[in-house]
Amino acid sequence: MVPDDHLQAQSRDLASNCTYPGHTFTPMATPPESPREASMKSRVIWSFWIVLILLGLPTWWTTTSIYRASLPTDSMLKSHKELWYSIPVCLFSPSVPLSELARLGNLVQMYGKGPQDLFKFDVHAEKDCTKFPSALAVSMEAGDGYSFAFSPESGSVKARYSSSDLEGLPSRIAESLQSAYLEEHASIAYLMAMNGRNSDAIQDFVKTLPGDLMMEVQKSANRAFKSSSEYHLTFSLFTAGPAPSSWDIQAALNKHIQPILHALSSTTNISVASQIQLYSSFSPSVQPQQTENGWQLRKEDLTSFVNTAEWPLSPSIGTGPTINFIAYIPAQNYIPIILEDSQSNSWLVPQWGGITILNPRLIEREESELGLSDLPSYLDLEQLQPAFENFQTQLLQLLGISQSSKLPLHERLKSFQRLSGLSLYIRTSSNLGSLARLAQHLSSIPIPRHVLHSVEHALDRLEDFKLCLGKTTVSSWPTCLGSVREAFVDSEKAFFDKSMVGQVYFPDEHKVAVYLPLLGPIGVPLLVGLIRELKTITTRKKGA
Amino acid sequence: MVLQQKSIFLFVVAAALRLAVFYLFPHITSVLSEQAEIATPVSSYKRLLEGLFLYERGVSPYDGGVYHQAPLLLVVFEFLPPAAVFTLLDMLIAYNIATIAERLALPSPRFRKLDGGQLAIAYLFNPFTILSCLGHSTTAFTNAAITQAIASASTGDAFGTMFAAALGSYFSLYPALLLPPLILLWAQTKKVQLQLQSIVAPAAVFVGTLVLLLSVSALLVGNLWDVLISCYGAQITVTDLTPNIGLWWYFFIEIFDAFRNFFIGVFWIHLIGYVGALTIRLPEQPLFVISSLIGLITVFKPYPGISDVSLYLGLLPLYKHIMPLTRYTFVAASVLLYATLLGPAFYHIWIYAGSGNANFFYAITLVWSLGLSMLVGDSLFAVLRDEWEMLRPEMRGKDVRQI
Repeated sequence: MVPDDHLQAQSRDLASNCTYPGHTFTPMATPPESPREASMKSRVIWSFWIVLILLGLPTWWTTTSIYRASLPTDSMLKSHKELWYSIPVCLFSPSVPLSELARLGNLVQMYGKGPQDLFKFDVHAEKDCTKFPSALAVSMEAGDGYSFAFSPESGSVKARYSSSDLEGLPSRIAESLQSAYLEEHASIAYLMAMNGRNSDAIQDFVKTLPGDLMMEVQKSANRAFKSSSEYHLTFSLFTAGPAPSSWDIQAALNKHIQPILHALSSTTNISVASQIQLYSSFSPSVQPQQTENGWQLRKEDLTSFVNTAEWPLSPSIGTGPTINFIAYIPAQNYIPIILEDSQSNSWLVPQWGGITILNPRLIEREESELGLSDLPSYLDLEQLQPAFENFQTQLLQLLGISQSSKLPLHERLKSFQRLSGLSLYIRTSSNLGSLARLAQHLSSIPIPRHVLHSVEHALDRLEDFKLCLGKTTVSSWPTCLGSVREAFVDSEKAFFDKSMVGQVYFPDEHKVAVYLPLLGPIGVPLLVGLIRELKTITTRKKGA
Repeated sequence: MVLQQKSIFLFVVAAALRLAVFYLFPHITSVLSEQAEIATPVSSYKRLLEGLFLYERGVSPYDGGVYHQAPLLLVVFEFLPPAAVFTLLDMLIAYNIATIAERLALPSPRFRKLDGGQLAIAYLFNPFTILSCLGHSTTAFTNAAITQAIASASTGDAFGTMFAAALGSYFSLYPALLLPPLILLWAQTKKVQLQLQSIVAPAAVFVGTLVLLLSVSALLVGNLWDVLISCYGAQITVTDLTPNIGLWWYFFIEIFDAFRNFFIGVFWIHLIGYVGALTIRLPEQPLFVISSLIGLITVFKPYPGISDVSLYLGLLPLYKHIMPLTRYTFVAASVLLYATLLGPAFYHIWIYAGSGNANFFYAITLVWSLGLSMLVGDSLFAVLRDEWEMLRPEMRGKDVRQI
């Protein structure tokens, strides 16, 4: 570090030898650089460059290199082009021997196939069908004449046949099954068509369906929320004035909502919350019209009825969508409010929730002689009944559960579970496909290891679910739905991973903007210094 | 005896002033220790109290994610009254400056023997010093360690230098950057030729002290990794972006996440780059290299406070003989004064009044940093000019231009 004595002495000599009298000094004349100064200068330049190379380069390399796990793009893109769909059916009979029943089952399965094996009935013959709650139980009984009837309580089927017509029995049962599940099949066809799957077969199938059924399926698909692994229900009581301030929500939920939730609980996570808000009037833009029976809300008012500015309706809690149910109690001077052309005083907002206007009975004040009356401070179960009956049907509609009267509710819920499983499957595979295309298209985005893990897990779970759909897994439907739900959650996690999404919006050109401040003011002087230094080295070498 | 009677009297006055303010206005610390200019995430007394609270209850002080300072500070404040500690630290720093000044002898013809007491008093009565003492900025510990290291180096005490430098590095890392000029200063004082063998022992002392301090800390907290990550990791990677008078916080709020680590590297390398260059350029004036580096670090480190500036302003007068050669001191002083007055005002407008935004405060910190770098650059120019004039005495008083 201490400069060479020899050099120093030399520089002193140089300094004393060279004299610059003031009058000869011109701006053009540059004093010669002493060797000591030159060596110091080059050492300063090198000290900067050594720091830059020893510390800067490794820093640059480690902090800006992108980790890209290699995703199984091929299987992500194409493994889910083809789908099969089967509805499990369990045949049993106290009288017919099992082998006979099994033969019958095979024939029914053969007759009941949809076009190009798109859908089928997975028919089994068993001694005891209660072991397979996911399957439709069909009990065969000999009788006079053919009949095929659902029992509304258990959801099972009693099929009678006359022993004289055993030949035509399988095709008749298959026909009955097909007509009972026509709507489910139409929904599947719609779902697949919307997502571009199995297109030829779907086209053929849709042509055979009645037009109004397809319309109905489309309408109900537009009303319902997209399938999700979990939902949140929020029941809100909004009152325009100070009363009523409480309601028997628990009893109402237990009576009307809980049975549905219970039936769905094995496959779907549904959480329920309730709230009461006083002095929460509807949007000020809505003006009820006075009629002889009270007040009337016109149809065009309904779209702006929800007071989004003041009503505390959370858009979404957690991962799943929130379904809102609102019971609205008008102010006392507006009671009763009647909806135009509506018996239920209630309407549904597609993919959002349901609203019911409740007009509670007024209670006369005891001490008043003028016949003054008040709103009740408490709404009991009986008063809530109409609202919750509406909410019940609306909940079914919003979840996408079929409204058809052909099947008992129990069967419709099962059908919903199958459909939502399939829908989740399609969404998962489209998530994975998009992710694969994104990873192929954008070579600059990082793909962290945990994304790879999520993708692999999702693919495995999807494979499990595919087995469920195609193969005879009569008993494990909840497990199947569980795996597709896991796959869906994982695929969402992978696709929306924070570290990747951020980079999607960061094209390579922007990097110039990031590096430019560095390259400009800092890089240029350093580079010029280095070039000069290298020049002097080469000239010195030439001189020597 | 370094100090004369008059200076001792003024020392007592300075101490009494601090203690009197603490006694008369007991709430002043809690007010001042919330000021962004005084308390940074790594020097805030409030955060230290939080860490102390956890520590005294047997919880790791770093658990709250608020405390980012060295664990040994906890032990100090567990037993000693803070007012006395900070007053004593100021006295120690001032005394060290006096020692350095008395020892300083430069070959420049402009140089006159310095009165150490004067410089110490200038430090003690600098408003920045007083405010950061009243605001209990724990940077005072680092400053004391740095001045102790310089004082030891200028008395030729290699062990003391290295011990103090290690202590400073333990408190806030960056004093390690001052090692090359410190070793040069020590060699210059002892008039020894620097060779590898001669710096092995001091280097061993430095490393040994650091290891000792870190092991004691690990014992106190119970987990060395915790200390390294929460204390030094936070200081290096700037996890806490609480506004301060430095240049980092705003930049790292705005930077794209993907480039955050890269630019943290760039900022640190920028800071480190000066050490070698300045030491090589001015090998005969290591003390000036140290004070210039402190100035530069104050501008470019992640969490600077006015306490760092007070140290720089305390060391700068050691080179007061170059004052006639500086060109922009008036502008630099005005800019600093302007920023000092407007800084708290803009912070208030942004945070409390809500009538301004972050850009107000950031703009004023830019001005402040500009003023400081002008001061550093100008003094550097003046020292180079002084060197040049020693080489060419006939050029005294003539205009120069860069070629």
